[in-house]
Formats: sequence, structure tokens, C-alpha cells
Amino acid sequence: MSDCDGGRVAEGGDEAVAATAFELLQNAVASIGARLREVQLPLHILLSSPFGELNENQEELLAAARDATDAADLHLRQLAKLLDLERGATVMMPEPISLPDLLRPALAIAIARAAQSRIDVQVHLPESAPRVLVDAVHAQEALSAILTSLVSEVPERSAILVDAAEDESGAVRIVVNHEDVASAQSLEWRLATRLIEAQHGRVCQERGRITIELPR
Amino acid sequence: MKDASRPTFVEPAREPPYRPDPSPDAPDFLQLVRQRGRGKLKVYIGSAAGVGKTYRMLTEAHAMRARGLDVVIGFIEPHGRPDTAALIGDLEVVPRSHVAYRGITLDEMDVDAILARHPEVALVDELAHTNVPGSKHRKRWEDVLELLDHGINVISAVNVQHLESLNDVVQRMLGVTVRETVPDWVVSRADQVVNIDLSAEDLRQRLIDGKIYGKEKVRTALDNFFTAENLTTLRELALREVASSVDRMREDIVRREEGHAVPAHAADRVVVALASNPPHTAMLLRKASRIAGRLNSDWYCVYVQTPEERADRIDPALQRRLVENIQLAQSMGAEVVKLVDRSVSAAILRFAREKGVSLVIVGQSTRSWWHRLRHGSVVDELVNNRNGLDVQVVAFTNIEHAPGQH
Repeated sequence: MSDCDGGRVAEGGDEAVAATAFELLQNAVASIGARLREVQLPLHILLSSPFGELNENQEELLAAARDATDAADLHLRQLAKLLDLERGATVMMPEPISLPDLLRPALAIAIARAAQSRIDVQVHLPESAPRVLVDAVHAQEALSAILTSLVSEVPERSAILVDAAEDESGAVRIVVNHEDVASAQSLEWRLATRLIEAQHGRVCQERGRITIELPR
Repeated sequence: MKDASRPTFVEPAREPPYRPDPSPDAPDFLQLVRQRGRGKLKVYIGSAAGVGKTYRMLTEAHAMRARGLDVVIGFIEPHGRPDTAALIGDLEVVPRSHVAYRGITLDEMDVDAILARHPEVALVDELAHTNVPGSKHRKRWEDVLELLDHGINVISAVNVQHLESLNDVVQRMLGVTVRETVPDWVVSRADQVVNIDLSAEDLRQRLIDGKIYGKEKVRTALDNFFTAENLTTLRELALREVASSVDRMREDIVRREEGHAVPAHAADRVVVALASNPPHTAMLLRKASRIAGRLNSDWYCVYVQTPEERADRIDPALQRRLVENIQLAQSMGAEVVKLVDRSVSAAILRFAREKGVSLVIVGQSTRSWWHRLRHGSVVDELVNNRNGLDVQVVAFTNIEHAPGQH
């Protein structure tokens, strides 16, 4: 299996249909978001205990409800962000950054999560890793999402190997080898892919391997 | 974003007067904010509430304003601490936004109002805070990123247990689940990170004196979160976090200024060249481990990736063996380093020179003499080096040859 262009919401095809689909999706995101807020707000208020202390059961039930609505809210916001990216409304501010600096925070989180599942994350970055020209904030967000979602998908006690090298064209390639798993192609994954692509990079997924290309 | 110019250091918690940050190489945050472009971020890290992060932020804000900068308070929560509240003084405060729900009003930082006001510097406390539902962003750190994107410099603060990568550690060591977290990459892009350090005893004393929480909460806090053990653990985490940042910064400076990192202590180090053949490698690693142990020195396990072994070309089976060998080396205490080069021997020799290695350990070649004649031999090239390096060639006996060695 290989997915190097990851299922665009709209690419080519009938632009009018794509525009309508975008509009419908945007309206849906806004509408569902507004309803969700009506649930989130009372939960938030109740959990801050303005009407007296909650007992343990009440607090547990309300916290579970809050967590579920927060997850739904996150999903909607990711969708909105993906729509913004698709219509080119996200501003990128590229700057040169060294590869270790770019990867380190994403790896820190991924390694911490991996340790919980006894997944071994091996990282090999060249001593003289070149700098890449990316929007550090969006690139780190994307790399973090890719690595943490991979950690959640691979089997316990397996290994992930993160490697980096410069390819013939001058682009920097981060290669993540892992035990092959069926990719969920989650919204988070798509968002991460788009964030890389929006800065002239590329994410390619094939059996047991993810390759992320970043421009120099 | 990390940068060579990024100062990261530990500063003891203290009362005013404010003075510029004391690292000799550190540009004052004032200098950083005068650079144009994306806003600069300064983050105060502390081990717990009450170490004085907010106090330091406010002191710094007054000092900056005195030096002609346009500073506003985007969000400060004094938590009922009189000293902190008093220190706000006449600093401009951007009014908070209000979210009303059936007669109840909730306050939140008004990120759009700060953007409209567009100060040079905004103080935004509690980086890990989760915003009220319906806010522009879910998390305060997202608000901060937007301010930075618009060229507004931000001074913020966070407790170490809120760092996402430490979430599990904190839960395991302290038994505390931290719900509000900041992704490490957010703190990592700070231009300055300052650790406000306070001993566990001093912090507990501040708690007892009522400087952190109201009197009614003190006993519970002392018995639960603010135990000496918890605070010491958190303090260590904060110090470790900042210390590793210092190391990274130093490495980056050396890498940029000198091209290659040269360690301060470079004597009697041992390097072993890693091959991908597990039985041979295990023997090689045991040998290197014993020698390094006798020399009481650091030892490196170096794997040289040639173009044929690039990650996207290497045979998956070979890759797995390599990972096994790397794990084995790490379990024996080696620092594993990957180098990329067309020539295995040249890469090892260069690495040895840069790291002050005095002994290279390599396995006996299992190639045929004909292959060695035609293609050369890594072992021969190492043995014939002119760098004054000792080379020890380990003989493999009673082990079947396996493919994939270089």
C-alpha cells in the first residue's frame, strides 16, 4: 500500500462541486460547533463547582462528559483547520531551522507515549543535519501529530526507527520505519500531511515506512 | 524555535528589583524584542505554583516599560496573592472577554483585543490553561502562537508538570494526573527559557506563610501536592529540562561556529564500528564494553550509513537486525551514533578525531581476500590510518558468517 497524496478533499474535478462541498462542510462545522458549545459551557461551569462541592460520582460523570465534548470540539477544529488549508487560507512563515531542533519536541512527546506501550523509538539524525526551510510552528505540529499517531497505532513492544538524510534533489527526508500497521488515515493524520504539503513538503506512506520530505 | 542565540538558564526565585537576565552570552529579552518579524517568546518554567513566575514576569514588564517598550498585560491571574496583585500597579491591562451562559459570566483572555491593541510585549500567564468553551482557541498556548504570528512578543509561564512529554512521568512519580498540558514543541520554540528555582523547603515555607494559597487551603496542600518529596521531584524535572536545553544550545553553537563539535574532555574514548550481523556484533560490543569499563571511559558505537543503506533503500530484514544491534549497544551503555558517508573508514576516522577517541575497535573482516582486493577493506583502511589512533581488530571464531556486514 502506498499513499503519497493522501486523499485531497478537492483536487481537480468540478470546481463548483468542490466549492459547494466546502461551503456545506464549513456550515456544518460552524453549526455543530455552536451546539457543542451549549453542552460544553454548562459542563465547564458545573465542574468549577459554583453551586457547591461536587461529590466524587458527580465529578467523575461530568468530567467524562466534558472529555467527550472536548474530543468532539478538537475534531471540529481540526476539520476547520483542514478546510482553511485546502482553500489556501493558512499563512505560512518559513524560516531556516536545524532538523534536530525541528524534530526534538515532537520526538520527546512520541518517546514519552511510546514508553507507556514499551515501544522502542530509535532516532538517528546525522551530526551535520542540514537546515530546512519551514514554518517551524506548523511543521512541528505536523511532525508531532504524525509521530504520536504512529505510536498509538503500532503494536506494543515493537520498534520505530526515525532516520534523516538529504536526498539527491537537496530536499531533506525524514524516514520513519515501523512495524507495518493498517493506517487509520485519521483526520489528525490528514491535517498533518496537509501542513507539510502547504510548505512544499511531502508525506509518503507505504508498508512499514513513512517518508516526510521537507524543503531546504 | 531553538536558536544558537537562545539563552536558557536557571535563575533562583527572588524578589525585585529586576535586573537583566544574567547569562553572559544571553542577549537581554529587550534586544530580542527589538528584532522584527515573528514575535519572540520568553517562558518562565517553575516546579510548582508559588515559586514566583508571575512575580518575575510583572517585574520584568515594569523594567521593560521603564526602558521605553510598549508592554501590556494580556492575562495575569494573581490567585489572590497580594504581592502579585500589587505589582500589577499601573501596567496596562487588556480587558478580558466575557462568555455569558444563563446568567453566569466566565472571563477569558481576549486574544482579539490584544491583536487589535498590538503592543510590543504582552504578558500571558498560565500557558497550559484550557480556555472557556466557545473561545477562539481551545488552549492558551494557541492564543500565544497567534500573538507571536502577528509580531507581538510574549512573556509567559508554565509549571514543568504541564509539559506534555512529562505527563506520564509526573503521573507515575507523583500519582497526579495533569489534564492541562502544553506540547513540548511550543516551549521548544521559545527564544528564552528561564527556570525559576526554589528549594522544596522554601516553597513549603511560602505556602505556610500564606503567600501561595489562602490559609484554609494550606494544610491540604502541604499534605497532598506540596509534599517535600513531590516538590523535590518536580524541581529536578525542571532543572533537568532546562539543563538539557542548555546542552542542546551549546551543541548548536559549537556546530555552527566551528563546524564540528569538539568535546571538552577528549581522552581514552573508545569507539566500536557497528555492523549489522547480530552474532558478530554482540561479541564486538561485549569486547568494547569491557575495554571501556577498564579505561573508565565513554564509549561510542558508530554505525556508518552508506548510500546503499539509506533508510528508504535498506532491506527491511537488515534494518531490523540493525535496530536489534543498536538496542544491544544501548543496553550495554554505549552512545550510539549514526554517520552518513560513502566511506565507512573515513567517517569513523573523522568521528574519532572530533570526539577525541583513542581506540577504535572493529571486527575482523568476513569478506573473501578477493573481495578485499577488489573493493578494499574497512579494517585495512582503519589500521593504516595516520591519525595516531590505536585499532583493535577482534577475531570472530566459531561463528557462522551471516550476510549484511560491511
